[in-house]
Amino acid sequence: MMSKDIASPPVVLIYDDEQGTAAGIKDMLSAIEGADLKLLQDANLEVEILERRRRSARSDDEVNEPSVFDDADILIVDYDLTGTDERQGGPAETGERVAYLARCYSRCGTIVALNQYAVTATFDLSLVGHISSYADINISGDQIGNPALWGMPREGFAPWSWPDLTSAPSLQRRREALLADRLDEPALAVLGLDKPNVSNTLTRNQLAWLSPDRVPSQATVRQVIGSGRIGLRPSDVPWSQGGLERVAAARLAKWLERLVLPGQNVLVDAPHLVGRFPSLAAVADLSKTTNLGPEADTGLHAEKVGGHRVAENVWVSRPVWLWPTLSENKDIEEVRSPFSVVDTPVFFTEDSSVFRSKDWCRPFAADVEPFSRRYVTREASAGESDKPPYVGPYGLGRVSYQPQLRFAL
Amino acid sequence: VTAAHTPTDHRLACQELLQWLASQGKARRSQVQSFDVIATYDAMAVPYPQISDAELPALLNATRPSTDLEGWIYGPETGKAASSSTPEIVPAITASWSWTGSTPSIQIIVALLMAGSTAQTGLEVTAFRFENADDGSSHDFWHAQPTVRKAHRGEYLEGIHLPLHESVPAFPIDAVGPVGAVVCVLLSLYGSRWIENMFVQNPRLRNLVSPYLSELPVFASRIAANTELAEVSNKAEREPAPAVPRPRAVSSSARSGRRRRRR
Repeated sequence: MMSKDIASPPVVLIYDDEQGTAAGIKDMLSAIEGADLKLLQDANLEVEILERRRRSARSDDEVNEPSVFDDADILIVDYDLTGTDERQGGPAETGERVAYLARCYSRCGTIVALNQYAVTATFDLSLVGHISSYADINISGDQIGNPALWGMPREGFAPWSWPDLTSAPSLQRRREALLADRLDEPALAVLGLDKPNVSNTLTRNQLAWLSPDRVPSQATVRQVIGSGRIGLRPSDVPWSQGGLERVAAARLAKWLERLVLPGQNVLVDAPHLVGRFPSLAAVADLSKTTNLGPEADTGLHAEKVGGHRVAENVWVSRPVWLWPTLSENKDIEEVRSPFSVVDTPVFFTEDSSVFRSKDWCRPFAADVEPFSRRYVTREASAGESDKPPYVGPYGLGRVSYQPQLRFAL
Repeated sequence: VTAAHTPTDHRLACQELLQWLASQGKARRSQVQSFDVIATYDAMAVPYPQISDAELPALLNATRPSTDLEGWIYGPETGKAASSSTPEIVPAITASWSWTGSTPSIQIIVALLMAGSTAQTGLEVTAFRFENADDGSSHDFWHAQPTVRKAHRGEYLEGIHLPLHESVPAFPIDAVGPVGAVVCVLLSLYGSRWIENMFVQNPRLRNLVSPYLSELPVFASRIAANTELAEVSNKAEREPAPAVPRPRAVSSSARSGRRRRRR
């Protein structure tokens, strides 16, 4: 069910240059309860309005034409928009250009880009996301109807990096509100990562995306979006009141979600936390830790982790805590007694977001340090391919794991 | 402990320790470092070639009875914590081991490269080898000794100022087996807090290595102290003192007995 923080019913705008494909996406999403599904018509005209806004922002002669993108809580856009329908695309049109324009020159909430990096279900074993894309989420088109993306139970392919799209737009709005009077504060301080023992764990690459020409720890939100590699393109300026906040809310969130969080060494989420510190699980059923909802629903001992939460837990799609301070908290049994054996009968699988016993897991080396050893679900054995979690349109049997080199531990 | 573990268990523990060192070194290199350290990495790249990410797991493959890394693992820089006037060093480590004889043998070479912009014009290196007892010789105990070569009678290491006696002194080390020897290398470079932190961060490594630590006096006392501390702490949590206000107690069902079983 869609989040109640968003005006009801939430609008999901679908843009594919092939009308048949767009209708197919609409069909796939018909099971999503409470969503107002719309197909983008006269797309070239609508995109041109965004372009005019872009140009007008540079000239201080602001264009106030209405745009259908402004009303979209979620925009779903295909990458390949080179179709022959002259109203719906063009020889050089891409979903990435539309995503950039929609992010920077409209009020749309969450942007989902399809088929930019893979056209069929693919699990990226590097775990690091595509920060250069202005879409908030990049997936293959065949997964847009996957229930795991829409807050429903995970039964097959459900990468842990996926947010719950039903709550993503409201998180974006809350971040925008939070930034309203903080644009001139250092971005790392706004994100709650400014303490030296935390900021020192960020990598050069992570910091470089924030500011190419300033000390990253001092770069303000305004500077990050104005001149950082995740912000507006050179010569572009923010459009309309609140424009800077909207761009910053989305881009800083993606930086955290897809570049910082995968390492689990600066921010750590609940399933990875109980993998290291099982004593933090307040309940025997570790599946509670995979809840993307409020911190209270993750089944952790709140009194032990509460002091380590990120100041404003709206920046990523799941509850997270600061690993550098948490790992020194002597109230935690595994920290207090570092030489005792830790009981780890199950492992968290990144491709399906569930805990599995060792014989169901396959280790791989992610492109993050030092916590590079992670697990995905092993391949189906004989007779298993027509059963969960492998079977079905969203089953693991359809997933390509890339690059295979990362399985060589 | 040693009898209860197979040779593969021993090698797996050694493998995890060295891979953790490599991953810590790689993580550190991705962060902001001093120019001196970065310049030293550049200068050491050819004489101390680093083993690639893809090669290391294959070379350390615990299912094989013997291995020789040939290349080097770069650890995080160290050597500055005790005194700010002490130069930083970049440790490079290579190892070989064999379980083909009657007792396992291991040799770990630790090259300590002085960090500095002058590294570009000439490396400044000291090196030690940590190795098993050599029965019948004067080194019939687990020990570390200065070295100028990569292996017995092998090629000279670049950057070491000769002459340097290679045989004495041979410092006794706490190890009674290969896992202990690797731990001693890390302990000598980074200290016990680093070792503890390694266990806190990596439960798999902790489970593989901790069974061997009680054989090392330096850790046996810490393990005993930690166990005692944990017992006192657990007892305090179970039996809150009535006169002193305490934070909200955690329910016993939530603790689920896991802690007691683990001890």
